[in-house]
Amino acid sequence: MSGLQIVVCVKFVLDPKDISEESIDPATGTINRANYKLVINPLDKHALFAARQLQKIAGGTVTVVSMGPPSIVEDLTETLALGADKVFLFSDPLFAGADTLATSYTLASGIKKFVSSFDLILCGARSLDGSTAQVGPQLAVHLGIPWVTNLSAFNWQQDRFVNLKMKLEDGYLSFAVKPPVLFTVNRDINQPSPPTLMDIVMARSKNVTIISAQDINLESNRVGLTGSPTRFKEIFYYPTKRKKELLFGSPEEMVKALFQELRTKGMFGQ
Amino acid sequence: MNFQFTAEQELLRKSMREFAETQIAPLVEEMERTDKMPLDLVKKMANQGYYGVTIPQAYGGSNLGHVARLITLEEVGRISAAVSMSLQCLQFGGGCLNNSGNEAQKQKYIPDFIRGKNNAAAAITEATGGSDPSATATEAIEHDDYYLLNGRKVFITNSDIADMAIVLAKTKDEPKKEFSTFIVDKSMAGFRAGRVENKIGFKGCGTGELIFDNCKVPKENLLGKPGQGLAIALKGISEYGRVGIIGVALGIMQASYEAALKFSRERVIYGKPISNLPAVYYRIAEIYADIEASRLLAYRAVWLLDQGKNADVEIAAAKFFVTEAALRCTRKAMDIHGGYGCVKEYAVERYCRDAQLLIPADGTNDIQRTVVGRTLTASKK
Repeated sequence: MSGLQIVVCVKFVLDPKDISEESIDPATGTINRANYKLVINPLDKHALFAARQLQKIAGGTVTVVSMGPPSIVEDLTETLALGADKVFLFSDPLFAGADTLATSYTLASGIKKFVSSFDLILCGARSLDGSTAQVGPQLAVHLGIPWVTNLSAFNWQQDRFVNLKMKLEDGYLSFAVKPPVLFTVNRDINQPSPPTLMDIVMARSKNVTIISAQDINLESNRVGLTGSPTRFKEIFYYPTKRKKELLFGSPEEMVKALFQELRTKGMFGQ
Repeated sequence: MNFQFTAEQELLRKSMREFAETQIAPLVEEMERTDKMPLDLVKKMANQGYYGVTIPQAYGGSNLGHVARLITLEEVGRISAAVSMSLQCLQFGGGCLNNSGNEAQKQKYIPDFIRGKNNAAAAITEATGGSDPSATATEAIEHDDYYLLNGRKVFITNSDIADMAIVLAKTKDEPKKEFSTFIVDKSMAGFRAGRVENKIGFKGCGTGELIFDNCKVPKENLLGKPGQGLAIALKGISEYGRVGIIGVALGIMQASYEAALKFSRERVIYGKPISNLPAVYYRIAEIYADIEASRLLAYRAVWLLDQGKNADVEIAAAKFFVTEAALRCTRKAMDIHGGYGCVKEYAVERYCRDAQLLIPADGTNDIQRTVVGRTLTASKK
């Protein structure tokens, strides 16, 4: 097979524009997902865009994998318009309630079965809802490949990925790595653009394949709620309030007082 | 009956919204200030394929159809009526070429037009008034292998960025007036843009004169046959121009609705958000009803076009209803904003200025009533 075989993991999350305090049912502490629109997890969109850019340079195939109910098939069409050549949706009632461990196990099993040979797996660094940043690294462990997280940049050169820029709290780590490998990416990696009208037309000729638990070789006690050691205790709305404080004096005095106040609040570090 | 957009149309709307919010919204303030269209944006829209939404793939278009075109315009109009207006008029020019051009003309002009290298304007209106194209005074005198064009078009959208124009001109005066359309491009001496109007709205979308001063137009640039000019122009005005105006109007209405809703929920008077006041939520209910009615009229009309049917009456009815509804909605949104509705910090005043410009565009609303009324009374439809 010529070119790179790239797999992109895509999660659908609730559109944050729609979510407010009223979205949470006070009795159950849950959000009824059926009432809200889903969007591609923003960092996963960056990952997909990075895959598309890489494909333009190195050739090959971009395969999207996702997990969720069959109702997200239409949403997944967007990934086809955004450059995916193939999309696999792992969907089965048995997968419901999966935490990161069960999710990464299911994705890894599906990838092994349906994308036997791959050079790169790309994930968003974290999801907008769970925000654990665990699925990428766990998936790499399941697949037995190295991983690099929180990448702001990378390039492809001959037989390896070079100029990897791994973002840390106080700087970057830079190195090169040979495939197969898994990267998680942050928002600095690129600026995704929406699909063009021709991208939308081209998506017509591509399909989303739904894969059930039966189609994959899975240990049933490792998927869904059964395979998930994590338990949600509570979801609640954390209210934020604006605080108003009036400063008086000359502009110089007010600026000084403002900076003093901000310093006291730890805005400029210790 | 099926009132649902297809999954593809929903995806189109989503991607248009994303483009408008990320690429157009940051430019609106500067466009209001400078009254100039950012040329980078024009290129970006071309790269996204927005010019070729109704044009066959053989010429580089996506051929997604008229419903899709209305979606593109509505979503762009929600962020900037000026950009939506500019886009719809570009599509109008390209649409006329596609409707009436011969193969050689299409091959020569459309692919570059779709790539944003050949901005097309539709040049019909003259100082005698756009409502009566039969009063067109621009003349095209036939010579051996060319026509000599002389005249001045006014109120031409995109006059400042046009590389070419579809021009309606008189080709015979006696015994009976005859009109023809021509493709005039910038390589032809004697074709130039004139003054640009200082309008109350659509800031950034240039509207002005196109001047033809002894402009030699090769005969192969005659669009359609001699004498078909009025038919070509009127078809373009109806299927592209009026539909385009409707798309801009829908965008303005949606923006007004969202602004009114947001402000009413945040503005507190008597200790509660004003959205609790009947005077406010009645207005919001009326805006909502106007939007729903407008969308039904508008999308059904363009759906008819996609079915290959004539929709002149439905489009004319939608044009006057939707544009007047847009003006009503923007006024109500301003009322809800109280004093803040009259300051430029809030976008509702822009929506209102832009909505007013929809009323005379592409045939005043009295002309639309004439189209509908005369057809209904004549045919007992």
